[in-house]
Amino acid sequence: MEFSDEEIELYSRQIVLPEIGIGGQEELKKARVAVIGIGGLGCSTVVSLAAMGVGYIRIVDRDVVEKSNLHRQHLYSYKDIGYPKVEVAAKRLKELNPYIEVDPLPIYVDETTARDVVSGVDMVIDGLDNITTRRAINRACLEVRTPYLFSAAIQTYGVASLIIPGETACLECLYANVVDEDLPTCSVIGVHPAILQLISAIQVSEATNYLIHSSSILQDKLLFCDLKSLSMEFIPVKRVSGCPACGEKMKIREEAKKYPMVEEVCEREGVATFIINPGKSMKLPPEVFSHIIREHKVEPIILGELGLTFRYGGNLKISLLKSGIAIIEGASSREQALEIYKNIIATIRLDCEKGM
Amino acid sequence: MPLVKLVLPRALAIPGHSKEIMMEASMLKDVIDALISIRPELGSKLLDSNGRLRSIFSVYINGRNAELLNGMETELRDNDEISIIPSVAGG
Repeated sequence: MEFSDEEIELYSRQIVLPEIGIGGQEELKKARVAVIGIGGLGCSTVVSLAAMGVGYIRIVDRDVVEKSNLHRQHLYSYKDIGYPKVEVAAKRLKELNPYIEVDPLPIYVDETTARDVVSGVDMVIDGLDNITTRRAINRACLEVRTPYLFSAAIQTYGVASLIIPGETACLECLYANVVDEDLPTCSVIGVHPAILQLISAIQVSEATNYLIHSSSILQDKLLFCDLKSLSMEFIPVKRVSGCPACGEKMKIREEAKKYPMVEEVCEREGVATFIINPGKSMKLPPEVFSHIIREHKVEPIILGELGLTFRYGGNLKISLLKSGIAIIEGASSREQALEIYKNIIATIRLDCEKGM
Repeated sequence: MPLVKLVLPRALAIPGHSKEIMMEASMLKDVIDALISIRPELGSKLLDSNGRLRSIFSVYINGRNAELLNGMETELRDNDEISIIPSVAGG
């Protein structure tokens, strides 16, 4: 693999590191990674991986940029509010490093889509904010045998561990009984941007180390970092034969869910907010957003390439992404959010049948 | 009774104690009870109303998650190491 003079100059300060060198830089250029979630953790991580020259970066996120993201998600700025995160991130990363490929996927990750988003990469890096989605990613990584760098942070502390399918403890070995309902969220107890930067730095260091040398300090260990005491502690962790995901008593997959599904998330700017998961990702035609604005006389707030944010019915704000995900702010209930969503999708389908 | 080691992260360390505490315990329940007797405020965080481990903390016995062993009834042996750390899901 050859580098242009421009690329050599771009990466010169890391090529001189004995840990990387020209051979390591080649490994990074050949590498393919997926970063799932580009919020607090994922934002910093994708910037570093892109700048360091990781050849292919798949970025996956279901959400749009909102004001409360900006204190810690430094890929985004005020003018990006309402745009799909993956759209903004892909644009910035390509500007940062034109020698890499960035693949933005505005997808809702769950057990229906997880396998697709982790397939065809050398490593999956965690930028998620809940355990339910991580479980789906963990199981999908076990299935396709792809290493998964689990990481998480809240308040002033965070954790990380590298999961190698069939070798190390998996996420469910580590977090057997952990359920999201038991755990505090950053919207309630907060998160210090610095712990996100710290955990992200560890992700970048360990991910690049693994991509170059196929080894990581975080194999068979759970790292616990706390800013309050500026401490880093390692807990040795082991696979457990009773693990429901990787052990001898693997549980049969749950029954298929009924889509579209509604998830109520934290309020945004004081109003109830619902995210609609369409199940299998849709591929809405590129002209659909301008068509909605023109024909259905909605008030557009943001018209992006991968999503449209608009006012609807007076007091609702809706973001519709190209994959069929919708974020509905201001609905009075899950039922109302679902009904609105079904109406919008039915209208789009009808318009498509008529040739738009 | 087996002599075991309880390892706490600095964030949970007990004032005046090392973050590693040696104690006699025949099952995990003895270790958790001992910890709660020193740090009563951890009681409702560690255990639910039925005395089962809550998932806000993860407990490991020699690196294996206690919930995948026998929970609070997991029997301990000499030199076993019990680690307790907060479970984290944000990002």
